[in-house]
Amino acid sequence: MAVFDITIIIGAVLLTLFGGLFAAYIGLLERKLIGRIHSRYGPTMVGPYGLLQTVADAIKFMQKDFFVPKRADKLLFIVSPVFLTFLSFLLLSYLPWGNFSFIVSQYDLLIILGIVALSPVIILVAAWASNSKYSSIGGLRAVTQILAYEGVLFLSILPLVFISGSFSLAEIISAQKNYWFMFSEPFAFLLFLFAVIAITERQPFDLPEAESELVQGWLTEFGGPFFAVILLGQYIMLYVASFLLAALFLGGWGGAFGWIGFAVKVFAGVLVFIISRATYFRMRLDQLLDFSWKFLVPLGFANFLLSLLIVYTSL
Amino acid sequence: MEIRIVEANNLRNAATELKQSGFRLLLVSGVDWVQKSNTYEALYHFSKVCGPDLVLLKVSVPADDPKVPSIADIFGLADWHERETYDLLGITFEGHPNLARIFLPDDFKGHPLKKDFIAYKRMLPG
Amino acid sequence: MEQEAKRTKINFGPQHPSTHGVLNLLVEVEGDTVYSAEPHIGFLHRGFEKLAEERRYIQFLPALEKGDYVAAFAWDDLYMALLEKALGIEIPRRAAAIRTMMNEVQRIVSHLLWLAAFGQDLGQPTVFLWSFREREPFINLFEEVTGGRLHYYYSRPGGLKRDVSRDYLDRVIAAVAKFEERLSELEAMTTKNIIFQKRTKGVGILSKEDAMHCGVTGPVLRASGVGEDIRKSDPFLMYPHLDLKVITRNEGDAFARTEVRIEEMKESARLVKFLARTIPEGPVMAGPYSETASEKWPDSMSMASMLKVFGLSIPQGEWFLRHESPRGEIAMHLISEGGPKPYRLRLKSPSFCNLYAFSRLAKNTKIADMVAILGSLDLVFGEVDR
Repeated sequence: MAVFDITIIIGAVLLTLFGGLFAAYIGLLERKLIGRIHSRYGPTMVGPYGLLQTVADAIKFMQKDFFVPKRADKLLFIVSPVFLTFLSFLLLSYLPWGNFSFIVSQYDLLIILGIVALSPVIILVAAWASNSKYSSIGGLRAVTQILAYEGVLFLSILPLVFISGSFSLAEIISAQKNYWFMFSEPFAFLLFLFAVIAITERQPFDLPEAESELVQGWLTEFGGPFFAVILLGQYIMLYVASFLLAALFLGGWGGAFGWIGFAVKVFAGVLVFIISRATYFRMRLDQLLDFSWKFLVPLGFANFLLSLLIVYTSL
Repeated sequence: MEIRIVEANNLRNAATELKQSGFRLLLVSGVDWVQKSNTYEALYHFSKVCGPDLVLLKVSVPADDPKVPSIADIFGLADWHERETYDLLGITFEGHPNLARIFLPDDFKGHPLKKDFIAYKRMLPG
Repeated sequence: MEQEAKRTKINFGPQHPSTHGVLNLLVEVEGDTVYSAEPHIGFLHRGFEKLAEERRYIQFLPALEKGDYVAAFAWDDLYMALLEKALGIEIPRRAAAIRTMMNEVQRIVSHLLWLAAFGQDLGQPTVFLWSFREREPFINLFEEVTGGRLHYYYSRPGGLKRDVSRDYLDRVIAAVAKFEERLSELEAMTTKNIIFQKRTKGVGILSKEDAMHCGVTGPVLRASGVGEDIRKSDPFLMYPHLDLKVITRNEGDAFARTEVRIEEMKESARLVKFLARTIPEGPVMAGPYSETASEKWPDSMSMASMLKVFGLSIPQGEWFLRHESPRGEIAMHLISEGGPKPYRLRLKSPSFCNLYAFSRLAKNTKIADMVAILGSLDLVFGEVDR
């Protein structure tokens, strides 16, 4: 039992380190790649090729003042960003890392979806705790957007669950032995992409953080260390999103490519998110919601029924 | 450019007539002639839509009671220009929907464009 | 009333990432809907008209260029043309052609800056950086001949400060040709990008009647269906000899304004290439102040010639002149009582007129749309507040 505990603890520490490093270096990759798209270099000064930039940023954020606005609800203000990032790390612990995973469950996909569904509540709490007009507008927008796209997310995953017959990530991956779900369920793939970009609040669906309109939306009042924590949580979510994309639709770690191939697939997912950020304008909230409720959700249902039909008629 | 001197009470008629002949308002300005003839002058520049014809209406008002009827309902553009002229020169436009200061803070005392308003403590040489 | 109790009044600005300069909007919002947006200006008011009365004519030129700091050459050109009109100087054809060419290059540069800011507002920094990249060759060309990247002081009463070489004109043509190729990339990012279209089509529709009533000018007016372009209606410089196409659209929404400006950039590029090829030879200054042209350098740097320009004095009278800047119709009315300083110099700025229309356009829209409308009007606050 003692050996088991040590493994878990070491694993947890390594995972946290991985989470932090991933957030740091993917953040840097994003800045450099987007910089190149913009005909500029991105960070180059700090460290060789700018590699220590995020370290510098992290230190900068941590040494800033721990500022809680006067009329904000102090406890909730401090707890909510930490809890949000905690949720992201919790998600991380459900994902396998090589052959090792912390929590093995037959329902791990379902649990992941459930944790993702918790995030709008925490965002609302954070926005409410800030007690500022910009934050409340941003918080309401964020929640409306995430709720609209959670439905799309679930609808995109349902066909996969039915085809593979399980909520477990490992079994969904082995169900992709013949064809990746990206090819056999193209609509689900598209729906998943849209849903995931909307839920992680990345461009083009980053209205809740619309810099040019509401300063930073629901994040407005969170400065310094809080902001660093939230940013960390967001990059972890990006990792989770790319992981799920690669696992659910790109064949995961099964098949000929194995774990190295899987890492490449996750990286490809990350690239998709970064490039879409550089290319698309921000969608207006009502257009976003229309897109979800009037187009994506019906498409999701139709796709799900079609998939059911195909599965049951071929069995 | 055709220059017409118009009486204050005839201004609205002249403006409406110009609008009906296809002219549009370009500018509303004010000039401080207090030191020369004890009057203020309000200038209204009009131009033919898509044409080179220009008409300038000049309205002279006495310095101790500088009131001109507003044409903000005929030409929407006059709304802010009249506020600007009021703000900087002190000419009041009667019938204006919201004659408040536009550039300067609401509690500013004085009208800077007047010749007797000394804006600089030190005049430039020459 | 319960309805109104839910509405809140927010201040957008004066410091805000997306109000192009110092503008304070008093916005009445409920959720995401804007019920009214009242602009409060005056934060950048520097008293240009009062300044002009205290300065000699040539001294006012640098101050004037700081008004519309994006399209400074248009004002530079207008002011000098007004002085030339007042003094009865006729500028040589070469100077007129070069001024026209510079005007059109300025138009390209100014519209690119507008596109950059507009894209940034709509949430896409890529357009911002690409537009600035496209501006660089032109700004470098400006710097080469005038000495300034953003403010030029290039015109003098009687012509231009300095002549341009044949080699320079060839480089202008090359820069414009490269720009025209790259413009298709910018178009793909904007007018052909589906999300951009969704954000700007049907947004901020200014009807023809409203446009005429509010007195808007420039691309905003042309996008609402009125083909008013001073370069065509009341031509100046070399425009009577140029075959200029006035670009209009009828929808009057933000997308129409974008299209008008992009087409104008293409038209300007064509004009610049034509002008650069056909500039007539000749002197670049005429009239009593031509010693200050640097052809006669180093004599032009002599105290005597400097004093002569400083002493420029205009006889009694009044003059009015209007031009077309990238933002719209700019005009100046000069009243002189004789002497080296004007009695009254009145400036008309197109951004001031266009901003008035904003309070009408921003009723019952969404916050995101309000930002898009403000961006599509192409406002420069130095010009609004003077």
